[in-house]
Amino acid sequence: MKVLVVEDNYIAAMAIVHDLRALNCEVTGPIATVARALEVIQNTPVAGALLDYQLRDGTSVDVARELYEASCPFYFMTGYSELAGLPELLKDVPRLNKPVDARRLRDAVEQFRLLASSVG
Amino acid sequence: MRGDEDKTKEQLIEELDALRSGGRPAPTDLVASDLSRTDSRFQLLLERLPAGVVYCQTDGAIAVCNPEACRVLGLSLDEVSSRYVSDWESEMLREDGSVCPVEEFAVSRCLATGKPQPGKLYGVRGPDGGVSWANYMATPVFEGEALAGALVVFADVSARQRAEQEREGALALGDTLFRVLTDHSSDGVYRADQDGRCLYANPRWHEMTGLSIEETSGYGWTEGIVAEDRELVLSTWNECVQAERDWNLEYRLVDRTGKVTWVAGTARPFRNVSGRIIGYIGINRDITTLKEARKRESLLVQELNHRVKNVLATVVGLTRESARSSESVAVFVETITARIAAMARIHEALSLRSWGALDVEEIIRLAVNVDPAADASPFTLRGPACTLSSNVAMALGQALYELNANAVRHGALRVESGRVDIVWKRHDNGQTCMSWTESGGPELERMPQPGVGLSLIQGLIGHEIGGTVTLGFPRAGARHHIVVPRSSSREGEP
Repeated sequence: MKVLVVEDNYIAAMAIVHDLRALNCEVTGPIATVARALEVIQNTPVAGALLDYQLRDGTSVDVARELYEASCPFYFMTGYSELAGLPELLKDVPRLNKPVDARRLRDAVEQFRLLASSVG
Repeated sequence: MRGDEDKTKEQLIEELDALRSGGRPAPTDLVASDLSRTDSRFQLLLERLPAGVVYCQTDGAIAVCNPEACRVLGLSLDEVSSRYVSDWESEMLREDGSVCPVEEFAVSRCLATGKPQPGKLYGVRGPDGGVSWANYMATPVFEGEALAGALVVFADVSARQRAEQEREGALALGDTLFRVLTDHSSDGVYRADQDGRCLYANPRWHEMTGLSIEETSGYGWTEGIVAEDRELVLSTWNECVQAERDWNLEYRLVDRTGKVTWVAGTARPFRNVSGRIIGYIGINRDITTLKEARKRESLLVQELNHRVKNVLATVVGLTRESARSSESVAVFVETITARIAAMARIHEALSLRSWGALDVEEIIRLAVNVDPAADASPFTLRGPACTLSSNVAMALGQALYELNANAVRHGALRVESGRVDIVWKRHDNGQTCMSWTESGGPELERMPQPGVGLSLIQGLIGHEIGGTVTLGFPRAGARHHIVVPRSSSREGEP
């Protein structure tokens, strides 16, 4: 199962990448920019995604919107308790607080797997 | 009453005869002796009357003068009885303070015209210069058809006059003080009547609202309130008026240019002597800067929270990476501690600059933790003064820390004679190019295995800041090149 990781902090991203691999996920990324992430999701279908909110070329709102429209489940990973500029449409997107707790990450992956199997 | 008046006339005529018959007996004696024959009660009344009573004959001779009249006029009975109105010496003053000639006296007019003179205020200047004010009223007295004299009655109003003057003076002073205070106040100050109509607003109010005095008066002042706040201002104001309470509210004023001023508004009722509320004095303190500071503070706390969480996420990551490369717990502890310490040094330097930008040379010094100016330093640093934004500075610093750790473990810095030259340049396109050249160390025998440190360097420069790293390991010593792209404009991100 492919999981997209968008996070520009390399060291934090690697911890998540290792955890995901340990959970038998194939990691797409880590990706550091909005531009690159938009490119990747056009070409690579993923079962789920973990998006850092604030990236160096903007917020991941555009990426989130694409995923939302493609009915692809995803989480925001963030250090902010409130996300500035988050559109109404994405208010209910679940969040993973940084640093990401291993158990919550496992739950997220579990959900990706469930949805992926129900869709077929 | 009618009879009394008639009697009085008769008596006065008798007095007149007595005066004409030569000799001028003292008026009191005269009055007393004459009156006692007819009505001793009338004499008592005249003596005790708290009003001055004077009777003048048609020739202006003063025939009757009661004690109160003597007191007000500042003359003894002797002085009065030997006097004609035309010989009047004391200065008489009109209400406006100007000197009043004898012809204008109520008695003179009455005698001249034969008509009653309504009450009019005059002052008599006494020997001590003080003025005693009284309301003089003159009534003609007829004997048959002929004018016999004039009766002047006057009430002393000096005390009232003085009190009024003092009150007016105090009011004028109070008003002046109020204006001086409010003209210089940095708060918007206003006065309103009990219904909230503006009667006065100070210059600062007009400045905050851009409304003229005319535009402010009445209920015009509500135009100076930001539209969304207007209803709240009026409803809370009305509540306080109903409850006769002070009013307190933070709200916004706006001028014509759209400039908004946040104010802490307070108003307090003031009452008349009987305790009834007759108006309000209000003060609007400008709290715009305070509001902005509160907002900044809350943003700052949020930003700090974000940074702390990012730092913790990085520490978690570093712990994982360090664990993967450590063959023992002791090595792991040493490795992770040194990595976190390097981050902490850069973090501190950045926070001292409010997470602005950091100079490249300082980033290098903090990363390798050696004072390059010290004699024994193995480092040579050469490059222009140029800065990198906080997030780039942190990533570059971490990468340089890894290069240094690598040189100490496997490269030139393994030996005393080892040296590292770091040279950087800022290109016109904003790129910063840096070279790391090791020398003086033992010859490199083989390419190092790609380890955690080297992949961290690649990730920090390549992934995190979008730069490039070329790691080279010639036999003479490692030679690395780093290209840092132009700092992104996004400041304040770790």
